[in-house]
Amino acid sequence: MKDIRALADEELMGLVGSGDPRAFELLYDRHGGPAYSLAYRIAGRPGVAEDVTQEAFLAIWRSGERYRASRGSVRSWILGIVHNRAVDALRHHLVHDRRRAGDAALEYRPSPDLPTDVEAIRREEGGAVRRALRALPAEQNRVIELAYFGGYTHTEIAEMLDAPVGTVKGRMRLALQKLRYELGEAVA
Amino acid sequence: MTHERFNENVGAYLLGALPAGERAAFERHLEDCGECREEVATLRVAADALPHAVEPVAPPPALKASLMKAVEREAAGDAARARPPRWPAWPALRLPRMRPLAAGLAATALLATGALAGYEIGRTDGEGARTLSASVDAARVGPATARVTIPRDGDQAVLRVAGLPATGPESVYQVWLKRGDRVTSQSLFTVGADGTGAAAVPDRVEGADAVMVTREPAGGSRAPTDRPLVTVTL
Repeated sequence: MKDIRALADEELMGLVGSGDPRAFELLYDRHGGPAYSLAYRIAGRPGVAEDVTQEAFLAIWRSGERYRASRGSVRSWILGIVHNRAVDALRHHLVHDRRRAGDAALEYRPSPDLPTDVEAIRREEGGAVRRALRALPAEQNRVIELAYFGGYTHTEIAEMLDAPVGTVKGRMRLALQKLRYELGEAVA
Repeated sequence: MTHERFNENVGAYLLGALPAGERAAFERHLEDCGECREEVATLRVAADALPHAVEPVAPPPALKASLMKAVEREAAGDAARARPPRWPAWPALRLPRMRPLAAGLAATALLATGALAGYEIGRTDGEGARTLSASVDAARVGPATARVTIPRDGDQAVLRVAGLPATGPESVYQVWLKRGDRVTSQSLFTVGADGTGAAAVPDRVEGADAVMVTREPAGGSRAPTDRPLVTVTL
């Protein structure tokens, strides 16, 4: 029998869908770290981040959320679920504890179960995205920060920046277009 | 709202900046609009990269422990429901004699440690019940003990165990009733952290030879797959 650890994420998701706890555990080992990191960055509090991460993974286990290959990689799909829940938690708990980039000293602890080269790749990927974000015009970087990491709606951002909603929406779209271009250039 | 207005929302949608109502409306629009779908797919690559910009923080180990506990419990429950062992006397159980456990008592109620406490408490044991001790295969389960309590009319016997090792998520203890060469499944159970557990013997034990316990894969088996760990000679 093939070692479960040799399976690609998509195959693992198939086993998770059939109710295999070992496949689910491996899925968590692979993606729990990035999921929690995102939840923590958005929610700003360890307790809320834990709740968000746990609920997201439980929802995945219970198959309330179904993975489809058209949705991108399994990791992106999981992180999308975590992002939605983290933003919901922010909005419903009215936790306006929004962290700005580089604020609190976040403790970096490498995940113990992953090989060190995976960690190195993640750091490098992270570096490329951070560089691409820095390359954006300031107002585009700002709307991404406020929307994606801050969890604010376009209306709230328009108020905060004292700009029309249409302008804010336009900046979001331009920001993603430019980001895509920058990341494409980085890969080339 | 016109397509042009929806189209303006592509960026906000991907960044999660649309409030719930607008998001739902946008998703409905996407179902009908190829142009917007294409733009969403193109820009989604950029949105998907954003989580990688965050500083990595390891989740506390307690998170995984708590998550896996819930997952394994649900996996065992699902397995038990999917393949219940045969309970020929199930429809004949006289429920009013038991303390009601829950409306819609399901097969899995018998797969439990605590659940049987209600079963037992319902019986006032001044009814001439017999209790028989079990012989235990100590080489395989250690110094465990077990006994079967049989009410006077032989119906609804209860097996109680102590000191049995935990089964883990992949297996379960299964109770059988042996009558001649016929062995019929009675129930499934697991033990608590303290090694105690209880299980029902729904079939009448009158005239039967023994109550036995074996360890089986989660969900139970149609027939014992190994020698009994516990035997109560009747």
